[in-house]
Amino acid sequence: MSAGVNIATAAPAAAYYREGCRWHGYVVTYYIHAPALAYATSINSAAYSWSVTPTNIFVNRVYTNTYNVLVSAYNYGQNGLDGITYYTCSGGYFTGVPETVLNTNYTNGYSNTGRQQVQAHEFGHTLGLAHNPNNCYTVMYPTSDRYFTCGIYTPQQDDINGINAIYP
Amino acid sequence: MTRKLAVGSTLVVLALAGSGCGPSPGRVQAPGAHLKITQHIDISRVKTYTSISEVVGDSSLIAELTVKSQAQTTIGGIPFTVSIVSVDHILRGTAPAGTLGVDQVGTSTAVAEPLMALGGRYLAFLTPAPDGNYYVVGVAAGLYQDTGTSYLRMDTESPALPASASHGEMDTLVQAGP
Repeated sequence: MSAGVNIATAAPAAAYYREGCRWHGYVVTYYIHAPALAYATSINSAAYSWSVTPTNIFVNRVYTNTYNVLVSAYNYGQNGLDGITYYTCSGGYFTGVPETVLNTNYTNGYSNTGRQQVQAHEFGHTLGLAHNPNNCYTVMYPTSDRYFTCGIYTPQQDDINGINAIYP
Repeated sequence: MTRKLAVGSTLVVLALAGSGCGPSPGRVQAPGAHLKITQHIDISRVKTYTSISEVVGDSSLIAELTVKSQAQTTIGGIPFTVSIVSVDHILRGTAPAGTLGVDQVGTSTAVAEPLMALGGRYLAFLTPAPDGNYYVVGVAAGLYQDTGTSYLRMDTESPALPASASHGEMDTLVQAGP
């Protein structure tokens, strides 16, 4: 580099955050546990919203007992959360079966789109994305303000950038 | 896609081999023994709390607590910590006689949100749970550490709530709530 010449070559800072865990492949399957079957339409829409993104990943429903992610629902009462994802990780890869649970105490009162945005967020975790607390206009924003305030219920560009970084 | 997967797997093996994860010279280590399994819990919160008044509005009991014992359990397939607490001082609401239980999602090994610690003193904004215990309002929004002279916010996802407040300041905010 010539003296006195300062050329910025750094890539733009990424806004998304990674969990630090990913799948070996690009097709992630999910099974809807009986308590969540009433939400199947919203769950399937959430999965589809990830599958149609310009990324390498697909989130597909299966009806057999061999699957990557278990989708369930439970009434936890008024504990301030409408969705949870629980998983284990080893060496940077998901192990076992990650489980997502919708809290029916709240989601029973949501529209189908309201339920979809929670499940899309939880699927984001099962793909390896962490919360993005700085941008309400992403599906990985930590609270359902992402939808009820910012109108987001599908993966946005920042979420897509994160997935493309995890699954190049 | 198959080629990408094969290359990715190879890179993982190479990265692990060169990451310092491998056995030290002179030591024998079983293959894969360095791959620790970690547990993770992520939560979608219903809403973002922006004021103590909002937290008060969703609380039925606001009190200073001391954690007397803790146990781990599973609720709806998710690990929870149940803290048995004594109620030291009530700022608002009515507490049942004796100790009460507070359910928090996550454990010390499956960390989700800030947890109360055994022996710790806290100001907690509480709401009833279906199992007869209580939840902290807003997952961790309603949880402050009690230093004896002030309260320190434990929640990292409610930046609009006061980071700290003296006992007097917080009592004023609580009493002014809805």
